[in-house]
Amino acid sequence: MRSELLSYLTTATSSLAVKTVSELPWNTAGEPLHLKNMKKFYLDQDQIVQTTMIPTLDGTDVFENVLTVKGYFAVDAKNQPSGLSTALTTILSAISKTGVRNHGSESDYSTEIVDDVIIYTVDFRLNTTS
Amino acid sequence: MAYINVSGTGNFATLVVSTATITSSTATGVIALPSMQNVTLNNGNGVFRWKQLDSTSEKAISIAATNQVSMNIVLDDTTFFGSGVGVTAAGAGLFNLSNNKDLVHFRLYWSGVGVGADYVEGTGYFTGVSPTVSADQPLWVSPLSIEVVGEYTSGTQS
Repeated sequence: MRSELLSYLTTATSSLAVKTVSELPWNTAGEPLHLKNMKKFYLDQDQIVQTTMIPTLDGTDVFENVLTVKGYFAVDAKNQPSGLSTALTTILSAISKTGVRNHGSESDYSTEIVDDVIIYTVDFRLNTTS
Repeated sequence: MAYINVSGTGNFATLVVSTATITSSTATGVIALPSMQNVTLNNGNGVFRWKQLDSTSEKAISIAATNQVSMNIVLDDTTFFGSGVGVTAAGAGLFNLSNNKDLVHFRLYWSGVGVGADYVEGTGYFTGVSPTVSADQPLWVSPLSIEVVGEYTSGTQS
């Protein structure tokens, strides 16, 4: 799912207050990239939880795969960029775009204030079967 | 005594159908129904009851049974719509066997299909095909029944 989200958001946010970058949110010198480079949106790797959706008698169980991708960006809490709400709406709506959407698509975000920085953590969730 | 365990490979409960007499689960034209969620074999013997003046309880005698095999399956496109090859159950598929009201032979293996496996077999007609899908369960599933014509026959795979 990360690659599909990245493909869509790279274009969709290219002219917005928060721009999507292709790097993973790794740490540099003990500081996460999204804190070092504020107003850049970093997508983490896919996380998958597989559970049995339909057990069958012949061992061909149907599995539900819940794919989760987290994304992070940070902005200055004192001077929030204009167009932040537009960027957030665009990021959250990525889950419903062609090439990404699936049954049970969901997204939401939460915020955390650390010193003078607001960190936005966005969760994307997709359900697939296999 | 031994419980009939169907939990492991080689012990799965298996239902096969064919338009011809079934000799084994792998005979030509036989469909082994994949991805059954459950299967129920019903031997519903009828009962005739009457009262007599010389008895304080009803008398009873068994009469003709209503026999039925019912199941729920996750639909597989090949077995549901058929391979289209040959005039067989596998070629026709479950939907066409039901829609055409074809008489089918069936054999329900209780635990595994190899030599020595116990089964109950018979003939009948498919009914109750009601495929459904929903956003919460985005896979086609369907109940399915075989209304049995006449008696069951039990046996052991040779």
